[in-house]
Amino acid sequence: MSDTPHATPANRNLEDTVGRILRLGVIVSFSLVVLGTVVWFLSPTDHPTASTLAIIMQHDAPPTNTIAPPDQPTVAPAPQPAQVIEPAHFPNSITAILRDALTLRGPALVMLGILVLVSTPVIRVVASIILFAIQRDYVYTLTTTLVLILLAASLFLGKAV
Amino acid sequence: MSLRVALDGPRIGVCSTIARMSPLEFTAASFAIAVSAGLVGSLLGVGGGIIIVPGLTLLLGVDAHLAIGASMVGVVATSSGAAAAYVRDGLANLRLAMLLEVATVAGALVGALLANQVSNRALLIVFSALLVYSSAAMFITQIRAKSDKPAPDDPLARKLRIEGAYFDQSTQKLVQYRATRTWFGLIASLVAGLISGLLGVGGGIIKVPVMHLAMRLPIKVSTATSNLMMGVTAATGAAVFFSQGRVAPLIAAPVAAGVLIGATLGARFLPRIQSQWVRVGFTILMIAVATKMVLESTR
Repeated sequence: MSDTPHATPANRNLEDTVGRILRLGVIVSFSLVVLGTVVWFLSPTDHPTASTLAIIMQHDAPPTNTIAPPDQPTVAPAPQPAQVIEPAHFPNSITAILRDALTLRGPALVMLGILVLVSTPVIRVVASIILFAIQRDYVYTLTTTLVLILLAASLFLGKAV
Repeated sequence: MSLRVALDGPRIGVCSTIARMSPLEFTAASFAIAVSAGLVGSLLGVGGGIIIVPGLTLLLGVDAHLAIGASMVGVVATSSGAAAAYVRDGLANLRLAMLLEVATVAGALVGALLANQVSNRALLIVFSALLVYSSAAMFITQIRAKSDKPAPDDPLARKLRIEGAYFDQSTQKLVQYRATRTWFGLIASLVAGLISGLLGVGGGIIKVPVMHLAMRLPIKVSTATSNLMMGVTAATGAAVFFSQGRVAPLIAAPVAAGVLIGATLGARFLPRIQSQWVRVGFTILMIAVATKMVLESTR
């Protein structure tokens, strides 16, 4: 992470910490994803079926962009028996995912693992902000904060549009 | 699995038996594709997306949007999986990365939002164009000899202090460098972000040539910086796709797990192969896949 050849001890510590956090994040994410998949497939009532596959396959209809209500269950709904099948809307509510993950529902554990994975780059951005702030590099502290703001916006813009 | 079936069979995937796959078989197949993507990614220095999306859409008949959403998660896995092992390499230029990242993330936002408005067919066609571009870029970056003339002075690069230095392990020398054509780099990053958000690829295939050839940064710095940026860019796209309910756990799970395993194994056991023949083979494969994609989307 340091682009200068002589990193200070402060920088080194930060980089080591970031490396450890990333490693932890990757391991936690991997474990959740694998655990969630196993639980999901072993579930007597909720395991994936042919219809679970059917809703992820290509079909002829163009996509619509209706957004599912925020409290939809994390297990994808069964497809409508109509000719034109919309692409199903998969879990998109963090609160619902957390709630269902606590009750050990397979898909929710998987989605939680995915969320942890996707947040690891955010950690690197935050660490960079801290690094630039320590170096009193205000231009880049601001620049990196802007990146963080845009990252945060991605969560909200998706729902708004 | 004959070509005949592929050309006038049902729209669902290459082979009609795919439609009769069980969820377990699907998970295993996706996992295998993802592991290969992670391995080849380590081998050739590409992100996984360029293998995952065609693999899922052409071989398994997955809806393009969902395949792209899953692939984005895979790209984050590639980036963070590698970073977890190699954060302190001193090669990536953090200032440059964050500067360009403003443009890339903005582009990724637009690209991802756009992806959800666009049909399967359009996505596949654009993806084929990307594959053709990637085949060319893969060679041009290598073949084009690095000019010995010093990089032209760029006042913006100076003001933003994106020069740097790194210690080259192979030559045991400190290498100092300057950057140039910063504006071009920013615009190219915007485009790379757009492509990344739209198609679920890392974007490195645009950024590395631009950083190395246009901005005159050393190749090792370009690659390392691009890998650093890839994760942030893909996370943006993944967040948009997630918010719009287009990350399917059934696909994202094997992809995330597979890429993590493939990238880890690749980084550990496969040396980065510089062999021209491997790249030639991969290029031929990419062009074949591009052709298949165009055929598939124009049916």
